[in-house]
Amino acid sequence: MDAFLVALLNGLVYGLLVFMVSAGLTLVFGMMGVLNFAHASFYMLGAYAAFLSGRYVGFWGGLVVATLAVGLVGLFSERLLLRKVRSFGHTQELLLTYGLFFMIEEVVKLLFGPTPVAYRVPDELRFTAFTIGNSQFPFFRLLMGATALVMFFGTFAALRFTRIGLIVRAAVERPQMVSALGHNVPIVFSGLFAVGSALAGLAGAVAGMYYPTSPAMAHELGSIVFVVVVIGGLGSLNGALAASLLIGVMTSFAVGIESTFGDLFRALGLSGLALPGLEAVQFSSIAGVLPYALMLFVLLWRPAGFAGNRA
Amino acid sequence: MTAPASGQGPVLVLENVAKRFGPIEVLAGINLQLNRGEKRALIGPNGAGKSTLFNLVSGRFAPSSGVIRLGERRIDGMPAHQLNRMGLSRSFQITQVFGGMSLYENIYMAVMSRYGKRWSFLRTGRVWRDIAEQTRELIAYAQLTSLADRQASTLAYSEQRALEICMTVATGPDLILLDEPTSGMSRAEAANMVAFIGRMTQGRTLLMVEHDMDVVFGLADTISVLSQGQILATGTPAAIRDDTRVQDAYLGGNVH
Repeated sequence: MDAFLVALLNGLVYGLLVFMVSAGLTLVFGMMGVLNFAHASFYMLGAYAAFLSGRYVGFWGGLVVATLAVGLVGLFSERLLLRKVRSFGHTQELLLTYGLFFMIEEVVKLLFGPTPVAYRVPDELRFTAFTIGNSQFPFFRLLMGATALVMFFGTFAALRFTRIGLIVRAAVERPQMVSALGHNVPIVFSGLFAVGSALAGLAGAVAGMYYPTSPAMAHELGSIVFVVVVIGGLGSLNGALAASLLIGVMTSFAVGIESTFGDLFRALGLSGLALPGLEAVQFSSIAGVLPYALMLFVLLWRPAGFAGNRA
Repeated sequence: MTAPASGQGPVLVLENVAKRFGPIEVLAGINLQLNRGEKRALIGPNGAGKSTLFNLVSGRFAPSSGVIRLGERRIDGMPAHQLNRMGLSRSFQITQVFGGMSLYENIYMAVMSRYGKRWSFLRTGRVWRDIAEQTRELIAYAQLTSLADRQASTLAYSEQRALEICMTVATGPDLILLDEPTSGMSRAEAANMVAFIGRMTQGRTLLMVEHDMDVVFGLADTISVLSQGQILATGTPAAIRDDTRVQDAYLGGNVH
């Protein structure tokens, strides 16, 4: 029972981390329709920005600086790069951000090296929040989860209840009409892109402390966040949250299973049929594949995603 | 509803406006003037350049040469959102209401833009009460109060078009451009729409492109006929109906 609870909690926290990064992508890709492959690079930049600035402005200050700095990087990427290719369509956007992804990675490697930097949880936050059986649950994991929830409710409320949210939702739906009503749509889109990037930056600043801060961070989440946005339904924050939690919990439990495929075949009385190599494979080793398998099923069964209203 | 700003002089002036797409000259030397309170319809056979002219005035294209003035100010080549802030409001041929929002929110967005409150974050203060109140007043004037909370995408087609007219009027414009306001409607719906537009645009200056002659004769007090990129005639509906050049342009009097 304890092991179950621990796996569940770890899964939820991992899911919330994935949500933190997907929240920004939901705005940028889900709502604006910009295929930003470099979104996870912004997440990685957030960790490095917090690492650098944290020495001078402290841990909490580092979070703020990382959020603002990555927001600015996003703003410039949109205004100076993405805007130029927008009219040529999604292919150009994808190619451009694909290039950006590798450029950011190489620049970071050049400046900080390919190995993780020493961005650590500050000592005053290193304590155990609670204990389940023999396993201790660190406070910092709770803090990560809480950040994600604040992000969710903050973004949701901003879109739903503020005037800017009203304009953003309208501009996403009918840019031409919003422009005819006197709103500057290109600026609205630049702002939305900057906010989406800033959210990724904040996610990186928080997560980089717990997970290693290295150039590989972008690879680890780069594709999974697209999976989340697609499974959740384009442009739906609720959907992205549900998909993230599902993926987190699913992966966490799959990792915890100690059986092999051989055990399964034997249990089904099929041991003779299976390939010998497959029998030794552990279930846990397919944990990484599960999110993508889930995406395939969702795309086949419900192409608009959990909560999506457009394909 | 606030009355349009009073002032002297014409609301819209086009001087020698021409538009070429590559080697093709779509509009050649258009001169046109709209006085305050005038309701002008732009008619002409297919391919005469009506849509191009509409797009030039509404800021979608810049003219190849010539000058367009709104009141005192030159507006040729200006982007659409700035045109709106200067007092020009337009509707679209294809419905452009925000389907995911309520009718109230749709109009609220339009009223908001009149107050230049585009970036404020909070909904507090006097001006927001004014905006909310004006939104409700406009909805009441349009007799749409019973539909105010309905999501726009669930409204009937003609209700959506009516909503769109409301939004066009709600920004408090000096000049309203209407692009085929009754396209896709039945006879009866179109007649209702003409009455509705007449009521909503009372005292305002109107320029519209329309195919349906019943609509044109029902709404416009002057008509300009466009043919082969030039203005063939301008006059009252009666004068235009009797103009032989106009009848020729429409192939032997076939004014449909």
